[in-house]
Amino acid sequence: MKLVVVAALVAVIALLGSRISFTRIKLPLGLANLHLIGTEYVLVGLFLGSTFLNLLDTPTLEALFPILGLGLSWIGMLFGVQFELRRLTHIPVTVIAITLLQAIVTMTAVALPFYFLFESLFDYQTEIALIGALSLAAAASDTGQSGIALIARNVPTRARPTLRLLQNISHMDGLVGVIAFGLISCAGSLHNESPAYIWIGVSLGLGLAVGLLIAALTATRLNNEEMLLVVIGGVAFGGGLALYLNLSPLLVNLIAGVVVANVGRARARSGIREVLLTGERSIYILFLILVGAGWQIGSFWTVLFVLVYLVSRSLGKLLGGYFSVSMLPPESGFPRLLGMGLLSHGGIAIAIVVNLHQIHRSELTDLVISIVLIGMLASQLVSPMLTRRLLEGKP
Amino acid sequence: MRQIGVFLVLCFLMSWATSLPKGDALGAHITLVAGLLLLSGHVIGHLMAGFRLPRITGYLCVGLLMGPYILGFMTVETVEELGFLNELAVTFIALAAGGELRVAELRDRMRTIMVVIVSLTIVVSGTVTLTVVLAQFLLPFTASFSGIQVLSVAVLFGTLAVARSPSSAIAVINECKARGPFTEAALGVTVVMDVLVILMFAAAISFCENVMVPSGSLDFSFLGALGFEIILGITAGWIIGRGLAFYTDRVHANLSLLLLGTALLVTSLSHGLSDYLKDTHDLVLRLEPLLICVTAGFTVQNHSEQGEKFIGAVNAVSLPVYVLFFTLAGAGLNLNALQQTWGIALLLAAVRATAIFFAAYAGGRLSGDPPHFNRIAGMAYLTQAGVSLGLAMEVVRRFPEWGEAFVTVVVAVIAINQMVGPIAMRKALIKSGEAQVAA
Amino acid sequence: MQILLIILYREDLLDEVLTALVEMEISGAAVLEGTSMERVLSEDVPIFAGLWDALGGGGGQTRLVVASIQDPEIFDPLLQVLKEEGADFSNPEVGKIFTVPIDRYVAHDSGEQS
Repeated sequence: MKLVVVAALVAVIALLGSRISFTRIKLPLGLANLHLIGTEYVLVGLFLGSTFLNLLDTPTLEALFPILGLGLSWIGMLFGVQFELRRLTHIPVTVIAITLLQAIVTMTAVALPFYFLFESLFDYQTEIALIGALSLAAAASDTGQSGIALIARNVPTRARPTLRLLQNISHMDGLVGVIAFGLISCAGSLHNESPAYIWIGVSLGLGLAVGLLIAALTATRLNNEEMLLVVIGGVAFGGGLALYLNLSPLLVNLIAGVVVANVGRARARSGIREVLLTGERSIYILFLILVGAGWQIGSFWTVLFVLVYLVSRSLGKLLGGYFSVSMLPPESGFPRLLGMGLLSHGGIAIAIVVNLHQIHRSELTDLVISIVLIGMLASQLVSPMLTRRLLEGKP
Repeated sequence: MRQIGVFLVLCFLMSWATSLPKGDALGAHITLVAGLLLLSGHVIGHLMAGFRLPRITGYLCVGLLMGPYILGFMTVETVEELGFLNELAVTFIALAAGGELRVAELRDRMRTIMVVIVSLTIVVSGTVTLTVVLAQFLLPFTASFSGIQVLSVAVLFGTLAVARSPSSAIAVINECKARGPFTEAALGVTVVMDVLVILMFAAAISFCENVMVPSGSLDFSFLGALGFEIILGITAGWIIGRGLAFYTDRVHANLSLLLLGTALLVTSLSHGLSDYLKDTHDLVLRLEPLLICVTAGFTVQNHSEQGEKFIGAVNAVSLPVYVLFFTLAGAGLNLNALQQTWGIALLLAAVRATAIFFAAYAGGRLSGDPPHFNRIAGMAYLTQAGVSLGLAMEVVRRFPEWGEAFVTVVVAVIAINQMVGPIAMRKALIKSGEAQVAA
Repeated sequence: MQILLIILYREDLLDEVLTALVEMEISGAAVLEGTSMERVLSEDVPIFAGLWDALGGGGGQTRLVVASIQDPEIFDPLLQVLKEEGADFSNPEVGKIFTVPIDRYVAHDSGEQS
């Protein structure tokens, strides 16, 4: 009974919250950004969780895991269904290259120190330390859209090309993180030591199959209710298959979404998109609440790790941006410190660490979640200001 | 062809995945099964529609196929784990049922509804009770019972026979987009009878208890408590209905999700309150979520301006709810029970159906309905589902010695009616001329 | 003669609208892509689906159908046909439809000016 009441309470908060959150409000930039990414819901979750009220205690949270699983699957498909190749060809290749390069550099910058930290300080097995470090790195590579959106209206005209570049990068670099994490989830130690390449193939195959299934089901004209049914069913089926096999529902449904975007009928794509977008906010808020509730803040040492994370991530973004712009002709006009505008964290980061928690529960996972959450809060406070300075030409 | 191909691929993927070692993710199985049921339900429902059968027959078949007795993608434990979806669906459908009852349209049909209800109640319960008494030899668990005890068990069967399925009725009506006097009467009778059956059943089970426990004497105080529960339930439903109407009017977002949340909360709070009162104050007070939600839906439709918006919001998310509900119902159909008790189950189902036809005909005749309505009326009342099962489980709780055997027969009868009922109802709606689908 | 303007918010109904026009023997319409006022002024920030907006495929896209009709009496029957096709313009979420009288035009049959 408690489970249902709490679930309903959380659902009502998510429902009402989706109306009032993720909008711009008049606050100092950093705080406005925190509101924009729904930070208050992490705190609501923390309040309801075992640290304070204990309404969302561990058994209740575990009983709500299917909802988290559905949420991850939903996010994966929502993200994937945007990648319509026909439209992507409008994006210059340089932009795509910059997106990939800065994401990879960031991942490297974060993975290296944390691999050494996890292996030497905590004495974890090599593979587990690698999984933890790479998951953290995958989460770090994602750039949030909120910080950029917050200052987008007040950008001088000459900076608009840079703004567009930053926006495009923030829209796409989550892909790198999701794929990276998806590959990590295929690691042998998560699958009874069977070879990773088999599970990579399985992830690909499942994503393809689910995508084709959804495309086939939506090939005939469906009314709104049937479209909702097929989308929820497809999302749950794809994500459920992935979770059942300890794979990443983010990746499997991302692939399914890409297939649907490129194979399905135009009308069907439109309908699928509408359904997925309808649930976007409520699901994300639900996520944030449940993540907050399960958040084991950890010891003082966590703060140290967060500092390492922030420093390494910032370094990665700055270096990645620097190298990318250096490779462009000088007349491109993009600032070398492009990375300053990429410090905001995105929702994909949360999704990745939640995914990690679903397939591998351990102290290390709790630490990774803590690092990302605190790191996210900290970076959201400063990222809009740094982005504004970059665009105003005052680094 | 494509649909069949999709269905086969779904089954193949499910079969392949479940043959591999399961991962650590908690709740993965639930997400997977839910997805499988939704997609398969959609596919087979479409196929059934192609054969001019109601889609819910398809959903039931999917559940049966995927359930513990055939393909085994869902174990009995999984079906139980997904039980909360059942509860959610029942109360959500009750909201829909209440919302479909429009006083303006019902007023004209009130006489028919009342007469048919009385007719069905008396004839069906009486006939089935008599049949059980006469065919007692087909029920081994009554071998050692005295005459009055057999009668009390027969009364229980008779009471349950009166129950039908508002969820099936609404699902078929929505699918056929039926509207008109015949539909209104069928819906009105079904919804009101669902509430009436709870009352009748409470009386019947108390009678049974008093007869089975030799020292007990007939005690009618429960009627007072029952009356109080009904008033409380209606009041709660009215308050919730006003709240929903207010929200519909002022806030325009996510109404459908709010309705789902309301159904969930009503179910859990009703059960929670009952448990709490029993544990802490030793007070037996059951709030019936079905009654609360029917009243709430009725209030929004008839005591506010938001009726059509409300119905729109309900319909926007009802399809996934129906599919999950009926597929789970199908998965819960106990084929073993049917195998063991098919003789008596068939007999009771046949007697029930005959009694319903006769009672509906007589009721319609007495209230002056057109003859062609009276001839087909019985077909609209054959469905039977969850409420009967819920009530039957109460028998198991109160009489553990023979309750299981009782439930086995009831479950078998429900299985037959659940398959036949929607098909018959669809035919009736089409013959009445009020359905907007091809015959 | 009049201009028929249809602002269609539900772009998934575009086929139905064009079918209805063909049924009413209205041809030569132009279909333009646009963005709704709501979208432009939107205070909302996408969380996972920003790429859609960036590529112009996001929600909030409208279609504008411009056609000319000879006989203004055709308006009501057209509304009925549109409703039968599933595009019920009495629902504000579907869009808006109206006619605008024209002062002068070139008639294509004879090349004359009116």
